[in-house]
Amino acid sequence: MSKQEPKSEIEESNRMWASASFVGVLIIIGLPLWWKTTEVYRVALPYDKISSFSELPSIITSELTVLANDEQSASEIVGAIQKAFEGEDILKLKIKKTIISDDLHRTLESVADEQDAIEEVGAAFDLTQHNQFYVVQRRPLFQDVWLGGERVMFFRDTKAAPTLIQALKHWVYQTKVLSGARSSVADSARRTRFPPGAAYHVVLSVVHPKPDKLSVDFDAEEAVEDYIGSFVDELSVLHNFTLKSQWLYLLDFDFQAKEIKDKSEWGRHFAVRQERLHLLLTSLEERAATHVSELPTLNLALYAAPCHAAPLIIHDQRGQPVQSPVQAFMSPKWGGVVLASPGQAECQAPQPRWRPNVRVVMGTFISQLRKLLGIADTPSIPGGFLEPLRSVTPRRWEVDSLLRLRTVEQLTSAERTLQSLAQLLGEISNIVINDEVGASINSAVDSIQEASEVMSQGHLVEAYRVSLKAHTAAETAFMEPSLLALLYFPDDQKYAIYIPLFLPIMFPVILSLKNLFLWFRGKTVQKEKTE
Amino acid sequence: MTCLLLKFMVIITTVSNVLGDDFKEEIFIKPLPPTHLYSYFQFVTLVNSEKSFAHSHLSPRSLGEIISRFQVDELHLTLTEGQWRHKQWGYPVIDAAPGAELYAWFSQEVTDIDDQWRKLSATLSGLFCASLNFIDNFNTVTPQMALWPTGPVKGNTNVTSLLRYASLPREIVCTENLTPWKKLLPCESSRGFSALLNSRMIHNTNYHSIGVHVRNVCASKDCTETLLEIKQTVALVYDYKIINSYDWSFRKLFGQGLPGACPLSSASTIYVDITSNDTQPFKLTPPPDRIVLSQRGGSDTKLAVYDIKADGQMVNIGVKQDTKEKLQLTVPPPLHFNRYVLGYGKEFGGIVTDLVNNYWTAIDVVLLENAPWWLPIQLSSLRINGEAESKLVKSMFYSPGRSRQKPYHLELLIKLPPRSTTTITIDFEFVFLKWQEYPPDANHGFYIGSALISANLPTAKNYTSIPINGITYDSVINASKPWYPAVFRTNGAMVSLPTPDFSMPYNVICLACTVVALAFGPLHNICTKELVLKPVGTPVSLTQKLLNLFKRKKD
Amino acid sequence: MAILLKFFVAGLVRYWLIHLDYWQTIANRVEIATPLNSWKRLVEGVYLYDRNINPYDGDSFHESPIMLVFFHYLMKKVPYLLPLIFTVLDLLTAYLLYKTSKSFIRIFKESQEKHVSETADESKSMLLNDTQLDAASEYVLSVYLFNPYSVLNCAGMTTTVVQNLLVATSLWGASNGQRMLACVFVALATHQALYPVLLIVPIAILLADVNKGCNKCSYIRTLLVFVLCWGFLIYISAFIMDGSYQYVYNTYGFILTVPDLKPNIGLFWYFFTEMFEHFRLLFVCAFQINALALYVVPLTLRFKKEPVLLATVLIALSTIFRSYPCIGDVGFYLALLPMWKHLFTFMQQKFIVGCAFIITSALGPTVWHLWIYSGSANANFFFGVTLSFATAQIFLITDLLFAYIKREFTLKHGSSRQVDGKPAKLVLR
Repeated sequence: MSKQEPKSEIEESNRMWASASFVGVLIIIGLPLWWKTTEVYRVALPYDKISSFSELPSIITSELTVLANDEQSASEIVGAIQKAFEGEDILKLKIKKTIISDDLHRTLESVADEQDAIEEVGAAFDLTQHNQFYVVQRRPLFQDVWLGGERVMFFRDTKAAPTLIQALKHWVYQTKVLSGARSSVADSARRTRFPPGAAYHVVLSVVHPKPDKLSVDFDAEEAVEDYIGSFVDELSVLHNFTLKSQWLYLLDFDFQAKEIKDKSEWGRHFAVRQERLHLLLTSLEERAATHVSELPTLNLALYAAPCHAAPLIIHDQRGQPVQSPVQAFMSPKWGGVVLASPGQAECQAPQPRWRPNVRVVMGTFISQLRKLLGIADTPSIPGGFLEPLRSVTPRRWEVDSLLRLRTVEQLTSAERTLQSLAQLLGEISNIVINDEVGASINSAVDSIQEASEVMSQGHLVEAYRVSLKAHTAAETAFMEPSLLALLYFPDDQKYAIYIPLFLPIMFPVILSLKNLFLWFRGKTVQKEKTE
Repeated sequence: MTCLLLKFMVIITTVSNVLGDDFKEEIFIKPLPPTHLYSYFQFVTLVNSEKSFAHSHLSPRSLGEIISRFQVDELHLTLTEGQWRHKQWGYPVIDAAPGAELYAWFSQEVTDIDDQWRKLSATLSGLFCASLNFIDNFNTVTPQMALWPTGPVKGNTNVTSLLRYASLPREIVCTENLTPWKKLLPCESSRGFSALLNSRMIHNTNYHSIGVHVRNVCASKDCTETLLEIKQTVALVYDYKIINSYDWSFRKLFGQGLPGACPLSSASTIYVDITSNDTQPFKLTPPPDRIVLSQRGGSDTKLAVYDIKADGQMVNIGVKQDTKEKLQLTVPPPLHFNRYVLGYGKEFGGIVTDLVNNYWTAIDVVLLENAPWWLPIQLSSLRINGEAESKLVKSMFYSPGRSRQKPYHLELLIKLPPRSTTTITIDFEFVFLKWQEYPPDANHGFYIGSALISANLPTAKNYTSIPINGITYDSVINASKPWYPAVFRTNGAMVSLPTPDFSMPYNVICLACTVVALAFGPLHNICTKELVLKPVGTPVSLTQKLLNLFKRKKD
Repeated sequence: MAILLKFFVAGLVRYWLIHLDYWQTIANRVEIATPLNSWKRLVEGVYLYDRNINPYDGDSFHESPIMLVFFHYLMKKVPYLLPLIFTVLDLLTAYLLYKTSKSFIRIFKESQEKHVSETADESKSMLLNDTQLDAASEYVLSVYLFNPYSVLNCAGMTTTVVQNLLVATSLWGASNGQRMLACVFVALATHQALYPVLLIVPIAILLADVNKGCNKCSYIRTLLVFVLCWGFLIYISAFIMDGSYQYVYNTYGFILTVPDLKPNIGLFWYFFTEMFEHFRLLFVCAFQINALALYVVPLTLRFKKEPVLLATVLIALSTIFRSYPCIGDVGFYLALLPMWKHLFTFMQQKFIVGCAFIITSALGPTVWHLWIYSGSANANFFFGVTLSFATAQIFLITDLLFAYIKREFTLKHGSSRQVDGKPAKLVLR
């Protein structure tokens, strides 16, 4: 009898250990296995940092040096500028006040030309630093304020202060455009210019519909390399440009231009309605194959009108011809088109051959390119004189302004992208976040924080580079196609897959847990008892 | 008038020479007795590749950008519908496999060729609106012996490792592909020979194939300078029944006459093969500008040549047959082949390739079999004329495939005995795919691509290809060589894979899991419970109580 | 004498079947040949190896390199003797099973003697005598020699013949107390098919029982010898393949990850054909745990005293739930069943199970032909037959185990089913 009892105890302990092994395999190995193999792989994201973007300072600091003849006018000017700019929430001016040295004063008074004056100032101060500007007083000035291509503005005296402030606000710092870059609704400047990027392609397409009737003598490669090349060289701190050119022959596009008799050398002109112009772009897009390029492309098209349809004049919405030496139009975020027509003399020659005026054509393109890249128009200010552009290169302070604009734009866009992405990823738990996306987002967040700091310290070029990195990383994360991998697998179907196998198996195991628990407790109580 | 015309031509040529590119267009028409007509269009642009493709004149900028971005040395892309019947029709100028076929040699500086290959096929897919983005590692092979570059190659380079080849037999070619192809031409489709390529007419043929071939050619004798040749080709085979008469003309074939040549081309020429005029006389209108007799490798060809001007005059070349009843026997070419699938049922099968050598000497051919990963071929079942170890095989390369990773790649260098038929058989078995890997119409079948047969033919009979160092079609004239290289594509085949029931995923899961759980219950009970005697009459279970309830209600 | 006649006839039947015109049909049938053991793939692997192409580059060959080299040698030197070799191997397996069953009977008799005192008096008549026990061995031999599953398996020249031989040898070695023999052969069998690793548990128990002495040391020694042998085999295989362990993906990796979904008599193929990609890994792991790890410990704890039954049940369960079963495996464990013919009286579902076996074995090829060749059925038919076959096997095993515990209870408590004079019934609680 006594032999049987321990035997039955042994048997019972065997049974309990068997039950425990089932529990062990199914629950201790099975549950983590299930969790690991069916989880949606999601890398942890810094949601808190992303939601705190609005608290980051986003102010660009810029240095302004005021050089006046005496202390009093200097303080007056500085005070006026400070008062005018204190309401700005994007731009903060660090104003330095200096009295012009006697030598420089004498030279500035004596020199006749403004260009020489700038050279003198340039000899005294370093004009090549980005994000710096000099406001210098110079008595012999015809207008209140004079602004050229360098980072120097001349003003006559303290009475010119309001004009000076207007010039600073609307020409040099372009505060309206800057705040437009940060607003949620795109202003007209933002609608026109190309979205920010590290590099662009510039393609000059020469459209020549009738190569057999007229021969066009135009070296597209040279024109592009010379004119556009010199222009974009100045902007190399901002973007990388690749210059290309192509010829599009036999492009059939009917302008539906009406022939109108007039008093020009031809005796007639063909009126192209403004509403039909954008249809030309469709034909151009078909042939130009811009989608093959991996970078955004700025298209510049030169349309050489054939002899039988020359000259082409654009008529605006009221039906009036556009009075301009060059007929051209621009399409926001696409590029620009110049409609060039040969003269009557060239067309009437036995072998018509026409050489377009390269300077005029490329000049038009450059002006279109300026707008497309973000260099905004300068309104006219009474009392202020803005020296017109003499060459294709942009003005120095325009490049600075562009740097500021793009930095703010890139930072804002990166912040917005990350915020919407974080909201999307937070709400929908089905989206896979793989390592690359996580790394991009983290890098973007770090770059945004660094950019805000550097921006507020005034290192403009570095701020631009870091904000470009942030923008690129945020866009990469947002456009990643692997985010959609598991989006459409609903939860209830998952249960339909698990239940057939795991329910009948788990059921007896879970029921046996109670017995197991009681037995273990009984065993420990017994052990305590025997001890 | 001619003086004016001449001056036109001079000006155009000087302009194009100044700007560096040269564009030529050609048509070659050859009747394929007894009932077919072959027309071959070729548009060649020669680009000075010293400058990069940033500034293009006549060459298409998009293609140039692709070539320079992916560092491609040589590229061949064809989109074909229909099968070329080598036995009846002889050899085409450029042969193409049905469906889409893409192969390219990359430059030596490329570090990750597979990655570039994927990107190249994806970009080309976007450019031509063809589904080339399905090209990936699991359907790409690197032919070891069958394909060689046709452009100059620097010595001591291992070109084979730089080559990738893929074929998608399921692709169809239609207007969507022709339109972007036409946009690559400098004259697009309003002038020149490309105006004849009316999609409604040319896709209504027995065989149509459009292709893009980019390669380097030597500019000088010692080949220190190279030009880039971009060649766009269209090959069409018409059945006379399609045009409802034995007399063909441009109007009947293409729906319109030829509206003059492209003003940008330096030469626009039409060649009509009138060799058969001796036996089956016909009248060719308008009369050709000149007639050229070409002797090539022992066969004579008479070509009628038309030089087309860019003056906008409509040209309609046509043929009127003199006799209506014809019985023409065709002489098969020296090498032709046939390929078919053996077996019944969806378990096992075999691929048979018959190679017929009609010539009096032996011909060496390379046969490339590219079986997809879902058609595992057994190399041990390879039989040449029924023998396992045949003396005809001079060299063999085999790379076994892996499921979902790489295809099966077999290359054989075979010496075909003169005047004989060689049969090559290999067995395969059918694979059961996961239910999500079947295409939408699973019972349509799966396409097996064509095999490549690469040969150096000793004779130029029925051979119409342009010699390797030739660029335009006139280099065919009197171009006798010791041998004539050719790469042929056999026909593809189709197999029907066994399909599971696609409506059953949850049912199958339930049933299979039930069986597994069936074992679990009893075994769990046996292991964790003990047998005891329970007296009958003990408290009834819940179900018994419910049944008793019902019983009482009945009473 | 009768035994020799049986051997002769069985050998003749197998040899004749191999030389039949229809041999290719037998060797290609999905029930007989799976991607793991088919003769066609072995020939392909040897062919590739002969021509210096790595057979593990593709995914047609899934045997271990040791088998590759062994069959390469055989096919090169004596290709005409191969049918004879397969027949002889199968006959050898039958002989080893005969000998094993004799040893098991001896062990059984001894344990029966030991526990005579525990049996109830009225059940003493249920104890087995010598004639009954000897007949069991005869039946084991006959079943293995003549059951159609093993005959067809040998006729198909599959490598399961080799595997059966290895498992039989290890069981024989264990029953005779030869540790080295048992462990080496179990390691070889594991290296070929992975699932025989479960047998190490009953073999350890058997060895401990036969070699009297300290049980725990015996277990540890057995385990150690097994692990060393297995590791050595893995190393030797890599050495054959020039030091690369790539073959592991094609052998163990193939068995564990089930990439090939060719139909067979198991449950995996259709389940994973229709499984969603996202859950595939979970269910592969679940099924492999079910086959390898779930039942070993509980069954061992329950049937510690009957290692032979444990071995039979483990072999049967691994056959039912493994990734690529074939009827050669089924034939093998069916041959082990006659040792338990004294349990047959307690089994309640013999008829159903028998009928199910016969019907599904006949129906399987029929619906396969209808699906693949006639095109008038679809995959569900074959799947249904496969499921029924698996269910029949499961019923067989569970019935056997129930019969065992019922007999055990009856031996201990007698055959009366009464509690305190009231009628009662046996339940599991």
